[in-house]
Amino acid sequence: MSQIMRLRRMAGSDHHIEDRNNGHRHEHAFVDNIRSNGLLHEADLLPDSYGGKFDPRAVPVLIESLPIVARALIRRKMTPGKALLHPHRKQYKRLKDYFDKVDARTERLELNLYISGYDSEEPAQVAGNGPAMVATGTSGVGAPPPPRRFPRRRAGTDA
Amino acid sequence: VRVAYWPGCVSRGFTPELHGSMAKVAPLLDLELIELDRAACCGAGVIAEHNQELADTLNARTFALAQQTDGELMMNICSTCQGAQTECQARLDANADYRAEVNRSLADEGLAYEHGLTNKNFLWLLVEEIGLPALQARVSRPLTDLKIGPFYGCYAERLDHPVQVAVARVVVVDTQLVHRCAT
Repeated sequence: MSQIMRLRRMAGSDHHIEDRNNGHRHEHAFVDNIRSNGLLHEADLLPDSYGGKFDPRAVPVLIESLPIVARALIRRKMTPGKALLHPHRKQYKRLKDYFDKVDARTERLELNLYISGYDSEEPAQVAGNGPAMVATGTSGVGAPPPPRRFPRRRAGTDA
Repeated sequence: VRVAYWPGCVSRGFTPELHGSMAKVAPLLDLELIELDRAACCGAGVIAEHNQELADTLNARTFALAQQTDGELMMNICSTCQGAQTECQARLDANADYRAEVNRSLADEGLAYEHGLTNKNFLWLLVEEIGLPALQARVSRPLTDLKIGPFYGCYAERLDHPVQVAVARVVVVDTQLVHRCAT
């Protein structure tokens, strides 16, 4: 999975490849959604993944989802206000700083456990975390490679 | 058990029944929930697809907020959060340099993630902390012969350790307390 993510980052961030499906737009819609709201505002995600509420690509998808929206309203899972308006959560006001800080970097910082393995001085398993926290891939030979930095290629610049 | 409780986004969005059910079930199970109301979305794997450091920073921030509480562990009720956070934590715990770099970003808020948080899904906690016999003892109305279609979530199924998926199935089959309390 991490390897797929790494390739997706290279394709999207370095080469600005826009998928024929809405994968690239979905990624950006999701990131912008969290940057603005702190928590996922699901009502915006679907139209934004297709270019926005008024984008021609989004219209058929929104029409198709009307029965689901109607059911959710009937079951009081949401209100029209909740579906249409943006919540403004004060506790996430500073969250944008993280997005801005990381996005402003000229390099992407990445740690690929498949390549780097685990620190030899760190315990391989975190006590009490159950099997999901078992660290695998420790080579046991010398210190593992450090996190890597990848130069970022901005859209419109020569690669 | 006092737990730093992360409800996730969706349980406070289009599936509010999850958050509401948890609030009702918790006192019955002697769980004290310390809600992480400043924590942000886990990224659901999509932010990691955009920028790994950003996803790890957001989750390290959540872990740091959990470590600031006096909860014994962190608990979430979302399979996607569990999967995405477990992956981020594996990276943060694996490499001290990487963790230090991420913590540098958290310093502005006075936060720092320290290696080794325990973060469990509610279902794992039911089995590992409370135990199935104790859970069964608290069933007030067994829903015998009720046919249900349990959904564990893609991330729970994707974890490397099938025992955790098995745990979820055992809880649903053996007790039905969760369903009873939720309805």
